[in-house]
Amino acid sequence: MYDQKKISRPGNDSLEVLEFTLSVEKGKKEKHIKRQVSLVQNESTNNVVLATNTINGDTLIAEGIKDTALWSNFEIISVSSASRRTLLVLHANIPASLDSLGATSNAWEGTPYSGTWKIMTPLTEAERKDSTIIPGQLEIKALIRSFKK
Amino acid sequence: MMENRSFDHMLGHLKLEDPTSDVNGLSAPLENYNNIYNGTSYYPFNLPHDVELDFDLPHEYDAVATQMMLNKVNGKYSMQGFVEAYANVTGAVVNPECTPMGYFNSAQVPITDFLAKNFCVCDQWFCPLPTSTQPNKTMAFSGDSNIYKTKTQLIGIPNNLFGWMNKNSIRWRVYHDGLPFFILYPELWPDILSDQFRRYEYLYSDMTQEADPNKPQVIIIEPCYEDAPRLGSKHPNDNHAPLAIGWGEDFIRRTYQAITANEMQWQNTVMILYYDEHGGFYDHVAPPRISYQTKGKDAYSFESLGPRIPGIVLSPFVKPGSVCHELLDHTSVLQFLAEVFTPGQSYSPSVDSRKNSGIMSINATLMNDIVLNPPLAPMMALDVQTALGKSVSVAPQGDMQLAFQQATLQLLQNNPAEVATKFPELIQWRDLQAQ
Repeated sequence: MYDQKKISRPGNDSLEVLEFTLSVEKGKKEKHIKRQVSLVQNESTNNVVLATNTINGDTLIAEGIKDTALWSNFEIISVSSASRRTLLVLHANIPASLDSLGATSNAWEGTPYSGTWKIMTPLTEAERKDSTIIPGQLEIKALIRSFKK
Repeated sequence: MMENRSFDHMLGHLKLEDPTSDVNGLSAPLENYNNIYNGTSYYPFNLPHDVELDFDLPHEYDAVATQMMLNKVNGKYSMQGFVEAYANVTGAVVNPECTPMGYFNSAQVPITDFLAKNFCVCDQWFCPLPTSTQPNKTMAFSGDSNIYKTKTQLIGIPNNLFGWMNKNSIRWRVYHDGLPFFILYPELWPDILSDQFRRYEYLYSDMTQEADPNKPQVIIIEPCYEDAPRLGSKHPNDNHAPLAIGWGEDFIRRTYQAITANEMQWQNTVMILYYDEHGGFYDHVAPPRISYQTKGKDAYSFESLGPRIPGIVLSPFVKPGSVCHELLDHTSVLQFLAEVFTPGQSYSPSVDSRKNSGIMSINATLMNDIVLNPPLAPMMALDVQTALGKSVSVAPQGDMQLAFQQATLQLLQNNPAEVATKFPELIQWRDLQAQ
């Protein structure tokens, strides 16, 4: 069975999905498996979202991997902060700063979108005093395109 | 007690569909409830159909720890790891609409929705332990657990509810639709083989016909378990994933109809519908940090309760359409039973200790003074479908079916007493036909 639909995605364009359901029936029993394939425009936005996992001095750090299997065919055009705070970001051995207002940076233009990202931000005065208000995730927004062939 | 669904999965829609509702369910926008996996956010979504799922979802203690995702920086459970646990355990490619994040709308769970809107929803009811079926069920029926995970094992159940009821001369009965879960506790086998464990088919006729002195004061109702051996075409209805939900909805409806069939008895009834644990489905509320160490040799320490489960209290003593925000877990039922049957005497030291940690009794839901007749449950067909859209729950219409119906009605008319003994389920069937 095949279906095509749009899923609204906050912070992104709505995501167009092809949905395939493989179903096997034997007697009165059925097993099925559903696979959704995202259709990504040649240029589109996508977010890197990472859980915060360490504090170094007064710096909050979220480090992790943007799925290498799903996103290995895409490269970066530009990146901006989606966390409403100033971020220092390290990716593909390139460090760059992103301002809290969401201005775009071209520091990673042409580098692979997938792989390890490290997102850092200074703790606020209030967060230094009360660790329970420290955000659980940091997020950046990337404009990406498929690798040029 | 049903199996393996979270609060948001079954009842999160109450808030989403009615933003004025007082229930702590899902609120728009749903991006407030993201899960994080491999750098990507996943959001709750409305499951498109009530079909059997691809997989059962992970809900063992280590998977639950991943799901609750303790953030070491701020010390909070983020509840952002349900997709990650699913990917780790199933090895499946994660769809943008990832199964653990699916929820049902009101039309897909019409009976649960009806009961929630007409009685009392408990939106702070957590399973006692952040782990799987066996430890949580054991906590529910004894207030303690010797085990911390589910495995191929027979289980000890010290301070169990049945022994407590026997000791306190409380009349009780279990109605089981298939093999009861209690078969996993060898010390309960004499009870299971006694008349106090009775087939579910008798529930309705017993409720309507039984003479007062014999009536049990406590009834435990067991669904037909997905995991238990079955012969023939009997379909499991415990709501354990990957089951479609329609079978369980029908079971809950039949049970509600049976419990409310005798209006005199209903006036003194408290029916508690709850789930053993969340079954791997997403819930957004972090459980409170109430610790518990399992008893026995290999003691294991849990630092919190487990995720929220759907809990609804049905009774003339609850305010219709009310919401209970008090902290509850399965031992709240044991607390309540002790309050009713052994006033001034607690169920056990462990249950007492949980009470002292802030876990309330079911009594917290009983806030009504006006006894009302029970509302009639919706009667629509509950249409479970295959993945390809074929109905699997509605029998074909035809002469043969009509002939069966005609013969059954005549048999009931001519031999009511014998039918009540031999085919008790037909009493409920007849009464529903007449409505």
